[in-house]
Amino acid sequence: MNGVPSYVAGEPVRVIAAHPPGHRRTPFYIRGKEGVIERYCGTFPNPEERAYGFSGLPKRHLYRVRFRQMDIWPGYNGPTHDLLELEIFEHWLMKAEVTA
Amino acid sequence: MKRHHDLGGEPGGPIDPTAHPVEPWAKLITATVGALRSRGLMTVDELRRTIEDLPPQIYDQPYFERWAEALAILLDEKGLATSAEVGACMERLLAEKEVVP
Repeated sequence: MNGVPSYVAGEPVRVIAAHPPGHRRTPFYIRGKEGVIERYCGTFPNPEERAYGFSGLPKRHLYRVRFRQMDIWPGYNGPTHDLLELEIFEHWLMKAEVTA
Repeated sequence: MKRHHDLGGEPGGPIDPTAHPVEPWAKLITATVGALRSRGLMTVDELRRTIEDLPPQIYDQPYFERWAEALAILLDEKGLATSAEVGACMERLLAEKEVVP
């Protein structure tokens, strides 16, 4: 495992807006979006490596990240407090300057 | 670029909530995947990767058709059964089915 987690609950983060080929566990629609760490989930083997027969080790830090629906979908018409939570590995996250 | 299987946020169309029959072959495919996983011969991540890599026209087939296609690819990739062996087995089963009245 890669040392201590980089983020704590409540911290604003941005999902990396990358589109690498291969098996990726971060859906397209959330890439580049900003949210807040809801909780730290622990460490898990990297499924993006296990998908090709590797061990997925060292384990990676996983977080549950909370997003506002209005920040995800263009022209979202639902209530402003509608949320979406996704579990995202640390290597898909970067620090965000502004709280989403 | 968004890949074919990555459907989040796309209009999904109406949902058919009625029960549909589970075909015996689909159960057999599920059992085979379970047996391979429990013996450490493949992971769920490998199955997902193989399904996601299917050409769109095959990916758009029903759920267990995808599993069957992906399983055949993984068996070949891991040297457990070549696609020629799987194909020959399917031909044999088809021939047996045709002689049953």
